[in-house]
Amino acid sequence: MEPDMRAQGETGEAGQVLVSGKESHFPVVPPRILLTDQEGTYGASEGESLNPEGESILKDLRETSQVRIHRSERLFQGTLRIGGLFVLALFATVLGVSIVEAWPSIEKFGWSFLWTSTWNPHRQIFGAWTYIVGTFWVTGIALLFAIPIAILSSLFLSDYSPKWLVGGVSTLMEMLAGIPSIVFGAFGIIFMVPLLRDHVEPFLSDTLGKHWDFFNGDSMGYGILAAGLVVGIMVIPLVATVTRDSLVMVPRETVEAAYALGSTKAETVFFVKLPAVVPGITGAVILGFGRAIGETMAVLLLIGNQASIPTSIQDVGYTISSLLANTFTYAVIDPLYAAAEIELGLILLVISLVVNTLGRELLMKLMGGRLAGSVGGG
Amino acid sequence: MAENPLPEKGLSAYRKVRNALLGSLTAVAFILAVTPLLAIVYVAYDRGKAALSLAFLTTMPGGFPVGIEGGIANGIAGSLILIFIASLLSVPVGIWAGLYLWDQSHTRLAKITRLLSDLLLGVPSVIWGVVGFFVFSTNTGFGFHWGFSGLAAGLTLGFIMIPIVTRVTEQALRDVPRSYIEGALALGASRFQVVRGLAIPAAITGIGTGILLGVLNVLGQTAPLVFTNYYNTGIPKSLVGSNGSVGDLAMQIFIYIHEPSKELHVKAMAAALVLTVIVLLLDMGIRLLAWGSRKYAQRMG
Repeated sequence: MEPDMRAQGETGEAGQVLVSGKESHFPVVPPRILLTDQEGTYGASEGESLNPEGESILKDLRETSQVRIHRSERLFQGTLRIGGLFVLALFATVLGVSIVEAWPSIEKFGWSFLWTSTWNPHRQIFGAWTYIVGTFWVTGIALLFAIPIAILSSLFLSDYSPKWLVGGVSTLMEMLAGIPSIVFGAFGIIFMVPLLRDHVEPFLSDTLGKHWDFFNGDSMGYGILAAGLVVGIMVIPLVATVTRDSLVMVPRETVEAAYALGSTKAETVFFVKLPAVVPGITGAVILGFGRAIGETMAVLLLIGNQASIPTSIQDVGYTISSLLANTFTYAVIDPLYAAAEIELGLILLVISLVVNTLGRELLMKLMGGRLAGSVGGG
Repeated sequence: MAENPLPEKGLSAYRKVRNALLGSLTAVAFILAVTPLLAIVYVAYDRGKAALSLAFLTTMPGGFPVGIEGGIANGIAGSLILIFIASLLSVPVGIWAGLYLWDQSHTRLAKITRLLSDLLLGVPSVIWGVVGFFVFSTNTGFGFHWGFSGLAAGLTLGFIMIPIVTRVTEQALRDVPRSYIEGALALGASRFQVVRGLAIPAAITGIGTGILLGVLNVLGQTAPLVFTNYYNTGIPKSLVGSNGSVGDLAMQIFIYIHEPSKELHVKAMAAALVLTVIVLLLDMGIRLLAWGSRKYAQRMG
């Protein structure tokens, strides 16, 4: 794009005026005429652009400057807008593809798709209930495990830990949060599953399982517990980081007032600071939920992939994302089967869009723009 | 934080105990939070070290089942190809969209764009896989009909990167002092001159950070590859069509860990360690870059 060609033209003209022997440094032409569109390129003819005397110079300037930014600037702004449209188009593609490809299933099963628990490709009956329940089991276990640990450890980092530890450890935690999902999954298979199978699950059966069937089961290692714990480990850094960011913003006066009233350190931290950051923690938990619910590869490796509704914490199960990653390439042969799977994906998409909108609004209010976002799953 | 200013004498036993208990509870939670993360790196090293060597990085997999001999050169090459394609799509588009969000940040369209771009950040990677499959890979209906191929997978990863690059670019541009921009505009520079000569050079570290952050995010993505690329034990000659799949580190781990073979599990853990180290180094680079540019900004006032 060229600078402003006409501006150069004008200086040239003014220069002509100057060399033509006049004493004054001011061009003889009244400034207004210089400022107006002399070539008449933009619709205004010479006569019209000469405003009658008495009108404010300011208005004049505004009009002329509008004429001046007219073409090149508008063109550039329009060009930039295309960049934004790319993002809009990408979003439309994601939503559009999901809805269009899921349409045969939406049309055939309607709302009952949500609470039907049959999934039978041979009889062409599909229902999402088993997978929705499985997804919420894993997400629930993950969050139950992650939230207390994350919140308490962010309290540790903000108030209890020695100063030299804080910077290094929180950086380390954020870095380790970037480890890919597949590595967590492999860790789960190699380390977590044997640990659960040989130690944790037999222990659960022998103690809590004696009283509640919920903790009973044949200890396989694989299952919703393994998947939930590993997803929980993945979610901890995200929740802890966002919580710590909001803990930092608790006013110093509040803390000092609590101390001045005679609170102990624990009382200040737990009964004054913690309630003050409830909105931040809520946002952190919502983001953690959004991250956990879309988790794919680690869950796929650990959950056992059996389409049954878990009744015990030691049961195997299936989540929406692991079903899609596992069977989608077989499902595409059968249009209705594929559509049903994509409708499952659509459910997941809608849930995570809603969750992320909520979390974003909440945290935007708190932190003003800088959103701790991360791509879900992997 | 202020040290406990209270005379401990005046506290009841209950409050003393509660103070100590809650304090140590946070310490326990902290240990519980950090240990598993460190354990992952340690387990990957411990179980994978038998396979680790320089040759592991530079040889192609062989033997039967494939991978039992040789290394992960196909995975490293494939991951590089995928990241290159993804960046080729997402860097220009992301910077473009970021410039738009910065330049016209107050308009209604920009606000909607910003919201949707943030929402795209939260789209689960399986969904990206499905979208990538229908846009690039499928051979029925609309789409590019490229089959399971490196190009399809790379562009799908590019989709994932776009919102990341967009938002980080916008943020980096926002951090350029407003007075610079207004000064240039007041001197008569056009918007294009301001963007090209001032805003982008001033924000270039931030934009670079954004690109690296995007790469970091797609580096370990496996789910989208299941839908668009799957896996290749070699390096393909073409990136489109039925023989166009590329190898990929993350897919390699996924496939090796699925095999009922101890040797392949060792290889999987070694590959996991390599992937983890790459990710951590990249992360460290990003942090250094951000730290350096912060220092620079401080010095410049």
